[in-house]
Amino acid sequence: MVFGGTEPPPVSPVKESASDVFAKGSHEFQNVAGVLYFFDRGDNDGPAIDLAVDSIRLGIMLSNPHGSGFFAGNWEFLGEVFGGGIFPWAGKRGSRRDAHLPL
Amino acid sequence: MGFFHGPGSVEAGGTLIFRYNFIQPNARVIPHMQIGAGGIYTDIGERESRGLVSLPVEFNLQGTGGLRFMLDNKWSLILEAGYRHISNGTIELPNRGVDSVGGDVGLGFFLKSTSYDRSQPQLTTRGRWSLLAPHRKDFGVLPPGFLGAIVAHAGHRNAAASGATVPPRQEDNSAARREGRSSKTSSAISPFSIRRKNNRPQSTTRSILLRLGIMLNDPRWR
Repeated sequence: MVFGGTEPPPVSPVKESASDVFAKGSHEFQNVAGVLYFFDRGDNDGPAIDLAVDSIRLGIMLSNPHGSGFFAGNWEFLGEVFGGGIFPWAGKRGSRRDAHLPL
Repeated sequence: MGFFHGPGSVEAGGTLIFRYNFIQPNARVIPHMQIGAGGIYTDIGERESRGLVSLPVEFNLQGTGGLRFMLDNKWSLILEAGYRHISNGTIELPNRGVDSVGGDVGLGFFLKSTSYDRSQPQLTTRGRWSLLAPHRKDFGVLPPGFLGAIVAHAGHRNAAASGATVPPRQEDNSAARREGRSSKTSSAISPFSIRRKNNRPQSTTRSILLRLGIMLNDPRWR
């Protein structure tokens, strides 16, 4: 008779070995693009700096999925290289856009 | 004037990211949280930015949450929203920094996947504890040690309480030889086995050995 911390699932006598993209050592490539909007913390009298960014990432799973419940999961490490441009939303933020003009 | 114009025009850099994927069994949607730190180059000048950016290369810190939608076994659609801070760590003043919030969308592709045993980690992942209570009939298979001695003693008392006698081991062997059984089979009989009225050695002792365990690490299958 065996008791456990949580109700154990029935274990198949056949070892279930499956390829898993989240298994430790798996590699991943990502390309994501988006925007980052500047927000003023209250002490800024400068311009808004809004960014359009494209990121290329290469990741590797550091651990197998583990744990139970909501926090079940694994750790992944990624290296990212990104690049993009600074864009203005003309007229959207009014006077702060003018601040980049030569003073 | 092109699309990218403002206090600067370009930014580029690199980030090292640690991400935790929240993986539920057979889930097609995988949430994640990540933090990262790195460097960023911009052509934003200190004067143009009014002190938001003071150096060409500054630090970037980011915290992001996202969702990954598994399209198939290789491809996934990624949606993220997060915060990014750019500053120079007070290497150069002024150092107001640039704080941004935003989101991105993209695709992920798994270049290489490995395999692991999905059935076992459910029971043997780190931190799982278990209480094992096997029912024992024969002390001969118990591991030596203090706990084994206690169980053996309890079993011996149980045998004595039943009114039986505890024969010496050599009597078991001789009885086995008389009955045509091998000595190997006989030697497996515990010294606490007793002789019943039919003169056949039987073990009547009953015991339960309690073991409380905790998994110290995850299985390493590879």
